[in-house]
Amino acid sequence: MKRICIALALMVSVGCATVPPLPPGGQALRTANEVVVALGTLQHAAIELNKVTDCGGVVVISPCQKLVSDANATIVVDAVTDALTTIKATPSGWKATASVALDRISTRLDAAGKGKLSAYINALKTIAGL
Amino acid sequence: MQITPELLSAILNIAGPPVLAFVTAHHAATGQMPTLDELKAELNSNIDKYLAEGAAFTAAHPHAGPT
Repeated sequence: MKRICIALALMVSVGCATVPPLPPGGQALRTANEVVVALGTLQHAAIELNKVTDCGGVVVISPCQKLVSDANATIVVDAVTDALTTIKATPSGWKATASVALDRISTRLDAAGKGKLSAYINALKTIAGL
Repeated sequence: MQITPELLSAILNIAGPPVLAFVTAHHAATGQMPTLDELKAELNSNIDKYLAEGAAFTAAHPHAGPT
């Protein structure tokens, strides 16, 4: 078992060593791409949760509500659209752009929207290092 | 609907691989890492995809609240 582990470790380390690095500037583009995917995932979550209606279970005691309201989904879509447009024009400014988008979203969402989308917002913060 | 750590992990697993997959698949296919132009094209492709999704939502909800 120990020999297998050592062999696997050697294979992994050799495999990693043979992969050439990204070209200069490539890492910045790759990071910008990760932030774009995180922004897009937040937007996708808001749009998809906007399609889901919660009627409170079998016995309906309150009006049915969307998991993410139209207003909250619009806030996310507008902020993400502006951020993506900016990153497309200036990929190197991804961090400042993501920060502005997050501030805008966090400020404007109501409490229900923040509750439903907090995990996605936190994921974006983590990926963007904010 | 409660967003749990498990769900968050699943989200990150969905979001992360497309970026990594492009670099790894490119390397596997060509033996080389992607060039700056190829990375930029991949970035723009992802941006265009999400812009299109946002535009479709906005078109379907033209008066959907504060912006």
